Amino acid sequence: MERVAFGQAGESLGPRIGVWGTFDLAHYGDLLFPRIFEREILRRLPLAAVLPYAPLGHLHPVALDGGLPADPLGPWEPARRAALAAELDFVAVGGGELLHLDDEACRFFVDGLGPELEAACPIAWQAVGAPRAFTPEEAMRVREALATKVWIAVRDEITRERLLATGTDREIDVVPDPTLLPDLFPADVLARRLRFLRTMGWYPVDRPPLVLQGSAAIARHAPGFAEAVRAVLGELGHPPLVLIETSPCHGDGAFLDALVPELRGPVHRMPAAVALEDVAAALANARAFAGSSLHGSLTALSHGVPFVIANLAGAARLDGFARLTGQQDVLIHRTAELPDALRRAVAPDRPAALRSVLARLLPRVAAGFDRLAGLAEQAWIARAERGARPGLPAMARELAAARERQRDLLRDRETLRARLVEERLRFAEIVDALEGAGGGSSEIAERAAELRSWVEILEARVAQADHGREQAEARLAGYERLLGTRMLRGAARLQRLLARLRRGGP
Amino acid sequence: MSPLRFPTVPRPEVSVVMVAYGGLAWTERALRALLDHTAPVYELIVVDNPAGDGTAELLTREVQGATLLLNSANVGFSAACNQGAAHARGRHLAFLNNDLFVHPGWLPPLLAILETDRTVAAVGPCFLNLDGSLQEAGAMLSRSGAPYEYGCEDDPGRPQYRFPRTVDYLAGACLLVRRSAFCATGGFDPVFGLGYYEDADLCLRLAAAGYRTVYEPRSVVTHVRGGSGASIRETGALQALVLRNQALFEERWRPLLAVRPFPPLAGNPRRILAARDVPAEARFLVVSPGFPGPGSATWVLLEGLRHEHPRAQVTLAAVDEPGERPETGQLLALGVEVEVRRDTWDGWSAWFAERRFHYDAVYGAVPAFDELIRRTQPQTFTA
Repeated sequence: MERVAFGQAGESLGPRIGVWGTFDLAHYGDLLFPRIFEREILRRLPLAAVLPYAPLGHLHPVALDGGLPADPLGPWEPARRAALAAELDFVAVGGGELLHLDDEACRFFVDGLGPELEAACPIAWQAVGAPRAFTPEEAMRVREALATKVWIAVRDEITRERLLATGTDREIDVVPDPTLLPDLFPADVLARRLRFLRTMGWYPVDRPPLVLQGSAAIARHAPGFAEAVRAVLGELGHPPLVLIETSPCHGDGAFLDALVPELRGPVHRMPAAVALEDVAAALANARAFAGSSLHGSLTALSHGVPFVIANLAGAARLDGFARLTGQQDVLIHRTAELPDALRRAVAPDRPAALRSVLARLLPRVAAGFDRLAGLAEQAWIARAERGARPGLPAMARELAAARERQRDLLRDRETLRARLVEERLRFAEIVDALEGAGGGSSEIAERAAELRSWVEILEARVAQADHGREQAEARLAGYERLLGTRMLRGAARLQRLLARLRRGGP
Repeated sequence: MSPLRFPTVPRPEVSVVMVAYGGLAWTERALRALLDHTAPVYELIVVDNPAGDGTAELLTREVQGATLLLNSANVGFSAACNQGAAHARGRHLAFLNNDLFVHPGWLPPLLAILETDRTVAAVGPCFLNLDGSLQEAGAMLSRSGAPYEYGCEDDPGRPQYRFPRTVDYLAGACLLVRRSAFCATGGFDPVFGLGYYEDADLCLRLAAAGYRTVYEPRSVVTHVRGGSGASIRETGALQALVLRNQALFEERWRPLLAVRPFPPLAGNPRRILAARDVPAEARFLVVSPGFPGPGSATWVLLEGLRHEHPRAQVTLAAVDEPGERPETGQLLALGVEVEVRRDTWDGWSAWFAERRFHYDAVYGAVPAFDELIRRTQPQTFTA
């Protein structure tokens, strides 16, 4: 698996790329962004250093950051801006609704480094969102900010329309949120975390659940939400219910506190204190997801899990997401719409439709990162040329290729060495036995006793495996007999189980 | 008993996660040792798996300034550690048992390794028994997956236990882990149930991700062992649990274990040595006619080997009077294994015999060793 390593401070043979966002909040989607960004950039620019920054950064550590806190942006002051411009070759601002013009902490996101410094350290916007339409004063400020950005990519059409409404003549691209990318977490990691969730009683062990989520902004809708869920549970086969918090910073706990008594039945409630991997595991293994979290729906979509977008607070990002993905039929603005939306979400043709959405959108996400990597590399080359080191980029490319080759060689070497070391150990024991060191025949007898106990261990394992096979065969025979009955002849699920057993699986 | 007031640290470097399952008799002492012997760079998270012996009540009553997670049922060591880790804000996680007492100065040497070497994801101390004997100087694995605690019951002052080295794994009873690596690999695996083998599994997963696990003997702790998890022993389910988990572990890691020595390791110095040095990417032996002084050619060679090959095992065999010298500690801190004996054939003969075919290269010249090296390290001679 890949190692995520932020802040390769000593690395100077590739672009130093700052990624700026609200990575110091307990928010699943925000904290995913820098990890995804680094992974995708390093795939394209192996020698790059990706440096995340947030308004407070590690001055405000949160457990959900997974041990990868960002550096603080600090105050939007000339000295700080100059320092950042000197430190970085390129900046990507991204990962959320960052265009909060009334928030001083977000000043860097909107105003960047200022036009002069951005000539040396270009800034791009990636998957940025505008939470609301701009006032005339704000529009002027956004227009000025847009004028200096080297590339502008927003995550939905609504944001694009809002930016265009400022009067800018800049081209605004729409690039889907990169949370859509597959394999953000390795499958074995998600499996491990799912085992953890089940061990803690936070996730059912028997059947995929309906996963629910909401923020404080829709807490007043909890009774209606619960009533709507109860109305359709029977049709869905009474799946277990799992309640998750994707954004503790947005008061997801308050929504769940209001929801639990209204559901009037057993639920599995995941606490706020879980890892990003836990949230992903919960969503990836769900029957369906219904919630107000954009990144909850994105994660569900990336895993082919049906979802309902509960936009009960009128958030532009959710409407924009529904429009981008063509999922308006599972977008609700009132709790009364939830039952029908859930029915549509879990319809048999939905998985294919979701795959089609991914097939359409994923290339755009990849193209977005290709563009960013290209811009970052250009900026770095330009800086190298200004610094009278024009040969540096070419050298770096050669170095990257050489390092890749070296990694392969080291891997091969490790394999060969392991075998060599093992053979040397065996030879040593054989030579000792032949030389009669330390007692001659007693040494051989001791070795024979060791080998005998090893054989016993192996024989016990074989017996265990045989026993397992006998049990599986007995079960298979039982199912065969059951299938002979009229009642079960048509049971498709049992047929599939039988087929699996016949193939020798568990 | 005075309350245990733990410091409130807004930006902790370390998040200490202590899982308690019984062990009332030791818990207060363990917490007191942590409080007394650790600078306020940490936050404390205590997870209690109920054992019905009053530990939960003690924690609630006496511990202040810590995050207390009181489970209603025993979820096992792995899940409880993960549960505590999910509350952590430090860059690093320190898993501590509640029957383990940290010694003064235990944390800085461990932190130093994580802070200076990004290839290391887990680091742990020297474990002592209550009577001061060595419990474990890092752990190693045999081909069956059975663990072997290096140096168990031996004198912790012996040089072979006093140099930092890369190991197969370290006991989860006191383990400092880089939090980002812990999260990225999915944490401890609850498949191991109530306990056993989850620490080895974690360390091997970290290794599979490209990280190292390092034993740092400058950090010392005392571990009661068996002071928690009492009811497992009482019901006699311990052996069944260990066997089950060993089988799980061996199946999961079979390809990697295939290059480990066959069991048993105990009583077989060659196999112990082979298992100990499996993680080393190379093994160098430096022979010297006397104990080298700082600045001498041999000393410079040792420093150079350590610098150029940080993942190698470097051993100094010096013919001299045995005994501790001021320079011994310097070499041990550098990560050099130090063996000093008088110029007697018998003493060195057995030593070299235990290391037959073990080294990749031999440096230096000691005429008395020529025949021994020719006989036991022929692989180091080029044609």
